[in-house]
Amino acid sequence: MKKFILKLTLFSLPFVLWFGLVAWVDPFNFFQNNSPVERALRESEIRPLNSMLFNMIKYKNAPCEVVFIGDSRTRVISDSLYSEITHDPTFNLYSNKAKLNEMIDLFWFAESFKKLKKVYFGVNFNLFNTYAFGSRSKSNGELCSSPLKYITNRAVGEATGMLLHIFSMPGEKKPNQVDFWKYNLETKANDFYSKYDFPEEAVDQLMEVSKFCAEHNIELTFVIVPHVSSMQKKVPFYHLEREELIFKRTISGIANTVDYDYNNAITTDTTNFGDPIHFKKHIGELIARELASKDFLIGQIIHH
Amino acid sequence: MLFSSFDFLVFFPIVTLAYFLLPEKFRNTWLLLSSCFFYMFLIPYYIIILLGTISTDFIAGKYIYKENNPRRKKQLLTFSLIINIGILFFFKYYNFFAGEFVQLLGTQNTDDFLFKVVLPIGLSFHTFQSMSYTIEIYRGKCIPEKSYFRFMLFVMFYPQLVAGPIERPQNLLHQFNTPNRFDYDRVKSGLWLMLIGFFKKIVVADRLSLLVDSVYSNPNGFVGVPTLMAILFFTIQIYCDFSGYTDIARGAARVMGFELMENFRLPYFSKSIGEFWSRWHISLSSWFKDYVYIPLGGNKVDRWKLMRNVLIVFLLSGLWHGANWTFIVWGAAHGSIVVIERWTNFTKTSFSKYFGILYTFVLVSILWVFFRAENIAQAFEILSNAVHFPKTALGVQFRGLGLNAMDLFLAGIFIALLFAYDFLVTKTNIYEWVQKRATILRWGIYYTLVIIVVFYSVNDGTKNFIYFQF
Repeated sequence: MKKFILKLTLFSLPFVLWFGLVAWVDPFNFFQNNSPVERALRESEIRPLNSMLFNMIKYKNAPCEVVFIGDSRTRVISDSLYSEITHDPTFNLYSNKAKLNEMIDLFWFAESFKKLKKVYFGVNFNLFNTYAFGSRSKSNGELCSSPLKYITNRAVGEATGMLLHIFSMPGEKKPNQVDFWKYNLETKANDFYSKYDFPEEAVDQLMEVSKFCAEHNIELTFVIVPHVSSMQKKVPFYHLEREELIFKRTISGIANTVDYDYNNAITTDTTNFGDPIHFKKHIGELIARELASKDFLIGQIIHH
Repeated sequence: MLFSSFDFLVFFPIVTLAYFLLPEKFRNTWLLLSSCFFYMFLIPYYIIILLGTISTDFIAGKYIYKENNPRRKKQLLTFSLIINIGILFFFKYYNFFAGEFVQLLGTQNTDDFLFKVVLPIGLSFHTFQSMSYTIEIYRGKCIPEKSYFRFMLFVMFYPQLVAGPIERPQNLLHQFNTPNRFDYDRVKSGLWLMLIGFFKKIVVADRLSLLVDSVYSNPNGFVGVPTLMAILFFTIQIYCDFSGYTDIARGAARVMGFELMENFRLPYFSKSIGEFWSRWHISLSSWFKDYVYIPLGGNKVDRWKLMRNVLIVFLLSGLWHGANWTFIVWGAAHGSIVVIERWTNFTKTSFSKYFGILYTFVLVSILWVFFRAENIAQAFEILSNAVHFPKTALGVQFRGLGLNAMDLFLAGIFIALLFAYDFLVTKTNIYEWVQKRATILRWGIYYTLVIIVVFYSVNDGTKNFIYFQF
């Protein structure tokens, strides 16, 4: 038995060292310890790798009463400006490439840590589709809940390796960002709209969220974030005008809905966008200001 | 407790280490307590049902053995079987049969006649194992166990408690009376088996389930290649899921010095459906053979009765898996094919070996659709969708599958690895081959496997073993 335990210890040593290193570097700030890699570097380099996990852990460490939930488009809505205006601590729990079912999971995740006051869901027609389905929220939720799962996770390990690489070579240049404009307009539109089915299950889940919010005095708002007009034109191109109308009618029947995705001063000016679906920072601030003040100049409140 | 959970990673070393450190006389008690904890980790109060079955069969076994009057002996056995099957029927089949009956009568509201009960995990497994004890005593092939707690351990031994293998008393009971020493080679071989099991379950089966679940939860949404892939993936998923469980169970038992029976013998290398059933879930197939098929006359009857016996066994086997028409159709279809194979002497025909393997694999895959589908209509819908090929781009067809290109690539790699492993198993004993290699290569193989299992698993803690529901 001694021989076995000795060999097992020897065999496990590299794993133990690796897991120890992951826990020490702590790329997603799970343990909130004194990582050798400064927090800002981790935030700038690691968040884009798995923004869902990063934000979930960040939220878990410091939950807020007001939460924005959405995908990369919602990321640009300024939570700091919103907080400055309303004086409510606000958190942007966005996740790149989040799907509606994952956003619903994020709501329940946020709710499990803090009694919420206001929740904003950044949704768009392209997410309102049975085929727009993601499966990361549950596994990320598991990672948030277990240190053992966190340190043994491959993505966390890869992030550790990446951080150590950047840390050891600070002068190294990162590759240039790819221009997504053309890619988003043609490829993404095809990806978004070429296969559509009304998401009955997601609607049921949203109604459950809405019911919960009503019972717990949480203000729930859907924000339909803007796309550039050339992207908007892809909806009739795929013969989905009726479905888009049903989408707006359905969600406005569930909760307050503010629409920015129609022909307006934001969407007709391409300079407001970094690519056809991602608006720039100043638009994010404009939306945050309108939502905080409830004084809507561009946002349209949809009445069911 | 799930084998694939982190809880088990803590449970297993503690139980095993304590088992070897404790004095011999306390080991069975420790194993029994650990097994109770393992079972109660999920739904604690269901242990009462398990204790009911165990007590009934323990007492019945004693009386059956003592009784000299054959008629009385039979009555006692019948009594214990009625209790066991009654419990099984109530929890597993009552709602199904009552629902069907009430619908037949034309009543709209069936809910008034149904019970809202959750099926105890592994009920069919431990009930069948417990029943085999009294039947074997009745047949004179086994003597009753003197210790109630040792009998409890026979039924509740945690590695095989919730999903088999369904052990016979002759194979397992006596092992609890034999002292087990720590054996370095045996422990290593057990851990190897567990590692292979984890690879099958959390690396392959759970990864494939992402695509399979997407298609089966929305069969309308997928046609052509994605549906075909779902059918193929489920064939591999269920094998990896169940044989993975069995490997972990056998491995965990072996580490402590217990040898559980083999439950799978490379079933997808079978050359006929009949052969498939001698290689798939062997402990259940042999249970039905010994306790249903042979008492019905087995092979020693005329042709028609033989066919009847085969069909009865397969229908019961289908029903054993679950109270749903899908399982009955699945069992009946397998039974019918076995009947046809016997009628036509299929195994003696001069087809090539590879044709036989392909024929079996295709048929088994098609029939798994009935096993996996929620109802018969859905099964036919999926089969129909699998042969319709739309003109839309493949990328669009794959939308909403829940698997990205990288996942699909990894799935392909791991399936290839699995089949290569299984193929090599037919040629050599891989474990022994690994043991004969130089330390550096041997450790390299161990490290590769552990790294794959730890870092390439798809384990979010929500994926149960498929056979737990039975």
